[in-house]
Amino acid sequence: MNQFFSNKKVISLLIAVISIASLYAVSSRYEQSFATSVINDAVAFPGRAVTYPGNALRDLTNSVKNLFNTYNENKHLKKKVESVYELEVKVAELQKDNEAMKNQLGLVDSLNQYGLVNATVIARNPDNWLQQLVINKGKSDGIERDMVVMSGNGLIGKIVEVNNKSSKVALLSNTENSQTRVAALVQVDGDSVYGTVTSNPDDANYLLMNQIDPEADLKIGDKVITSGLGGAAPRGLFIGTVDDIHFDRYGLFKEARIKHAANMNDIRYVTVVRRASGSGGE
Amino acid sequence: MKFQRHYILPIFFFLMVLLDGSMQALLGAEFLSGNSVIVPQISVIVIAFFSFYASAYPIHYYAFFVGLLYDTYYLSYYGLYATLFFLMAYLIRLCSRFFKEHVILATTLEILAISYVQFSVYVFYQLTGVAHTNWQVFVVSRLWPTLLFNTLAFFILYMPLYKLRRWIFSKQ
Repeated sequence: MNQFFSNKKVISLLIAVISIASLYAVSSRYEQSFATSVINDAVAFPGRAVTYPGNALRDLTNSVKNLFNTYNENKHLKKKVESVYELEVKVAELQKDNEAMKNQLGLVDSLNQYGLVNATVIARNPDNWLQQLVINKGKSDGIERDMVVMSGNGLIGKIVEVNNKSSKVALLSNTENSQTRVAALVQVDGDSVYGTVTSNPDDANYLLMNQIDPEADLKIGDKVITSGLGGAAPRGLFIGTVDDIHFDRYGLFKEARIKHAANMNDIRYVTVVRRASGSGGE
Repeated sequence: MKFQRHYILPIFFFLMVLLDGSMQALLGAEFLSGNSVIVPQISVIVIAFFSFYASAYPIHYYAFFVGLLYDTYYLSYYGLYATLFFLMAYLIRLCSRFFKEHVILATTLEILAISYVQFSVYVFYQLTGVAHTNWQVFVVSRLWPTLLFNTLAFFILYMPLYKLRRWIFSKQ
């Protein structure tokens, strides 16, 4: 016992504890350092070699699975095709109208113009407390901090760390940081109801939209989209549908529980959305 | 300085860390479905295995280094997994002196190691305000499925790991 608590050992233990604690404190509070970004890029490189074969295998099994329900799907889709033609014509007409009106007003760009960058997910944080993904596109592909990320047809998160060839995405369902809030709106018969979407601390399978006007007339099943007012996200990206409506714990605003449009558990390919108009990424 | 075979161990641990993240990305639909969460911890399995079966080598320093990479790659801050992996490897290495090399003992230590890592991470996130679940929910929805999966993975990996160990120990 005496040997274990010798002076030398106590001092080295103390130094170790202090250095680890300060390392954690510094790295969790300040912006990422250059070294971190280089290391993460270097780690992500062999990470690809591990994920890509798996992805290929998974795609193969998925396509085989899809083959089995092709017939039913085809029948279902055929019904939809007719209405799509109609919509297409309508949208084209509206787009032309919109363009003409913008020209008349002299608007250069608006909130709903954006570019897309496709990326593959290399890794996901295994412990899943911090829900973060590593994707295979970085600064050299034009990705910046705070850009929003889509998967399938729904918004899933935001870029929180950018390296040269890879970057990190924090999912909306992440309970840790307030960086992942998104300004959103619900379209209710021609009117828009605004609010912010955050993670739901009670149930990780849903999101929460809060700060909704208490007078607003929401219905279950209404669609929630980004409003473009938050700065980073363009307008009109689909987030999910309203699942439950209640007042917040102070009784001042309404809160809506939102069901994801994208499957937050099965994310292998993502799309990073780059907003065309300025004021993004402060 | 001559090349020694145990130098490949840190690289092997590092590959297993990458495998963890890839598995969670690829099999997320299976691992995270519903209310239960399976955390693939192949890296913990491998580090625990070699700190038990190859305690002649400084596995705990390798574990610390690999833990740092784990931290920067998945969490983007340093210290959590580095400390946990180091302590785990160090304690198992201490224990291994008193135990015979036997598969039952290895399995027991494996289960203890995974529970220790899972529980410490849970306590850490509870303190930093990330985790909001109480500990009963944690045990039922996270610890139990994780232990089940990782113990199965350990049984599958046991023979290949044992062969690797024999290759490292054999005369060069």
